[in-house]
Amino acid sequence: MVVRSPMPGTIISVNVKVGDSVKAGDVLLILESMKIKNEIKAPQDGKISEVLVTEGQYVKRRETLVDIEG
Amino acid sequence: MLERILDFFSFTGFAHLYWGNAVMLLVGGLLIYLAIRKHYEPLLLLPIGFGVILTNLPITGLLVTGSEIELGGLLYYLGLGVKLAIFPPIIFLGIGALTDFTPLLVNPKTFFLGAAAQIGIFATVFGALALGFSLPEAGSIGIIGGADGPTAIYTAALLAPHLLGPVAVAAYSYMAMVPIIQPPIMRLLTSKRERAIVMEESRCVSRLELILFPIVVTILVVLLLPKAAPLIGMLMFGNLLRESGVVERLARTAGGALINIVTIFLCVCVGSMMGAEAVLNVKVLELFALGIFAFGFGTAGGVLIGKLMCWLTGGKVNPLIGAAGVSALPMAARVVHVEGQRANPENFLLQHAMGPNVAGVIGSAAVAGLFISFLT
Repeated sequence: MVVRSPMPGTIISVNVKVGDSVKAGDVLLILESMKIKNEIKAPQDGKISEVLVTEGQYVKRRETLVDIEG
Repeated sequence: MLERILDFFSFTGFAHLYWGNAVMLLVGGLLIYLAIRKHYEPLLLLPIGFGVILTNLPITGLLVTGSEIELGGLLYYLGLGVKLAIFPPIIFLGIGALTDFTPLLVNPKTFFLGAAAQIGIFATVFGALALGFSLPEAGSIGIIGGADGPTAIYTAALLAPHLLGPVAVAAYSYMAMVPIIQPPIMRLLTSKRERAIVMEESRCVSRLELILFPIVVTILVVLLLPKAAPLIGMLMFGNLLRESGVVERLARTAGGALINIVTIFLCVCVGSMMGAEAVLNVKVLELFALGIFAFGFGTAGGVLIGKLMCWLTGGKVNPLIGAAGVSALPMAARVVHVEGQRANPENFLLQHAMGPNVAGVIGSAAVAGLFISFLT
């Protein structure tokens, strides 16, 4: 399942790496938009299969951030 | 010897300082404190606060009117950019270059929320008239409810120049205090269930739409309200620079260096209009009270129309986004987002709130054009 950016902004921290196991609600990364820090959480339990962004990267709305294998 | 010391003292500012200046020096200090310590819109409050301090130091001559024979004060010349209504349209050029109108185009019905929030302006005009202000003065005070500093300055400069300082400071102060003023009104008028509503995205916007939008809006609004041309024209021109994709350097300058430079001058000048004699009187206190009423009423109007839209769409619109209709870009949208997340941590309302927020900028500039056309 892919996790997409809910809004444009800058990734200020990536808390997971490929292979990590996550539970629904775990914070995957933090996206800053208009001076607001937003926690992007895992929508389901699973294993991180791909991380497509890095810290400092600007992302557009609906851009894929992380892929979780459920 | 003592006589010489007294003589020297009489040439210093200390000899000319009176209690009113002291009060205003404290006000300037308070604004700087709020900017640095509380992070309340530091880009605005810090230069305004320092301008207040500068202008309340006696016998500096900073505001002396210049003429062909005599050189004026520095702040007099910088202030011409405010008094001649040059700075606000330049700020709007920069805002246009920084604004993404996509959220409004994605969800065009949010334009009504931007329009609804302007009712605070009209309600306050009646309140100001009841308190004995003239029609042009009432219009200048009411426009504070648009929560848009450049628009308020532009309107006051043309309608009631003697109220320019207090109107500008009230508008900018209330904009800075959006996170304090708006949330209680938003919570009072909505249930937690309404605030928790997650809004879905409806469609994608093409590049052609984004390019055509500023051109079409300029033509339609300026044909309807010709006096809104400086504000709407510059706002949309800045946006066209951004969306055209072929003049990135110009867009970057308009939304970066240019808006920063003009913001410095504009805000210092706004602060310099807060001399003790101009501010410490009952009429100005009434103006400040009316300004906060306008702002609160606009917020309530936006939320109530948001509730109506929520009902009409079967719960698809979160009524909180109506509060972002009071311009204050992007502070009001941020407040909506934060309040939405308080009710539901999975709620990301920022982009949805940007629709009414940018519509509010257009709406308040249009109302300014209306007032300038009919109240002068």
